[in-house]
Amino acid sequence: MNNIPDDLKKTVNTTDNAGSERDGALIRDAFDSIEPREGAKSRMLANILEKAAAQEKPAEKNTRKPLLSRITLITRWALPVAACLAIVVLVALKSRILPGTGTPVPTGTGGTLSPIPDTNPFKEYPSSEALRAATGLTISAPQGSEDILYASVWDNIAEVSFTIDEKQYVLRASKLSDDFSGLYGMEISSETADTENGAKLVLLRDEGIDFLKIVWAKDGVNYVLMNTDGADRDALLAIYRSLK
Amino acid sequence: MSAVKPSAEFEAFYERHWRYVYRLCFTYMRSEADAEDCTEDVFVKVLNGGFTFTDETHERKWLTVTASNLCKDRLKSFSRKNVDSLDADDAEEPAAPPPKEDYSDVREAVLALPAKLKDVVWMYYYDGLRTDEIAAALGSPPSTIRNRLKDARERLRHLLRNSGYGDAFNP
Repeated sequence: MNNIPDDLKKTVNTTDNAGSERDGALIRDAFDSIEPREGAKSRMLANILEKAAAQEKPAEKNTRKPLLSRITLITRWALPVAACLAIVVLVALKSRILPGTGTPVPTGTGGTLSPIPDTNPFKEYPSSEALRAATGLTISAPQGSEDILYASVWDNIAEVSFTIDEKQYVLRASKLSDDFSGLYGMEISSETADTENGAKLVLLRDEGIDFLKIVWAKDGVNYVLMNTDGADRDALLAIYRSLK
Repeated sequence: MSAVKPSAEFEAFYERHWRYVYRLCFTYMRSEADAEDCTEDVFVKVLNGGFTFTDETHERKWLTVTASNLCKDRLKSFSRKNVDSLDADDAEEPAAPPPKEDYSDVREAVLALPAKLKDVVWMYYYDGLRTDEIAAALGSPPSTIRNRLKDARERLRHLLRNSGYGDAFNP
């Protein structure tokens, strides 16, 4: 980490494990040394246009029914379909008009995390109080934590990351009902961690690597505590108990 | 913003990015034919998807994530011999490349990484994204990205220990 320009240091910090500028140049040169076969550019373009055309063709092959039978079909199904739609609209309106009926549907930009955001969804904050002011959500790292970082994701997920015993943990809180952990994988096992909060300890596996997370809810807020660098279940449970 | 259509506009888009996408696909597939196939499929998605991009940076991010996911899905769908699988256990002790004096050592070491680490290495070192930007693009917590980068660096250091780059990727 020596002899790194100041502007590079902004993005290369100790928690990033970023390495030197030389390492980056080595990898860029390695990638740039990959050269396509001769003629690949034009060959691939021709194949692309052919594949794209082939994908569109099946839609053109559908034959249209005679006009008379199409009219009969429409009149036969139009009324029932319209009735179903009317019921759906009424139910939707009712759930919004009458307060307290049903669970409000999250609206705004935080319903799902866009995989390709136009702007950076992560914002860092200097403290738990600043994060609460921005998101309305209260979370903090347990006592004894190091490398504590507070952040929000799309302004409706509060996150704190911290290190305990050289293992890195992330705690997220949100009023979203979907999975907002950001972890992907197949659920291998799930066990009740705490009947009081309905907490569940879940083991996920993604491409041969296991992750642990604990999910629970309290006072209308959903929480997830996770680790991806090999902390065992007892360590994760101990942290959960110190947080709840 | 502009939509990509099968026209001069698409050909300009292709011209800007074909080599980049090919290199990324080859990093995963390690086969010229498969890399070309995957590259083609990425651009077919662009053609038929009607996507709009705000600028070239947005184009690049979209292509990186799409190509990475497509290649990983392709690797999952068929068994391959002598090519890294997605299972990190298979790549725990990859063989160190023979010592060479050019950067091809580094290329081989990067190609030997598990697929799961390649996208963060690519985005961080080649695209120059920060870990929080990579986290946003992949939908993972920044701490996960930092851990993966750390893991990748350790594997590269191990792979390059007998090469002319034995002092690279030190902590």
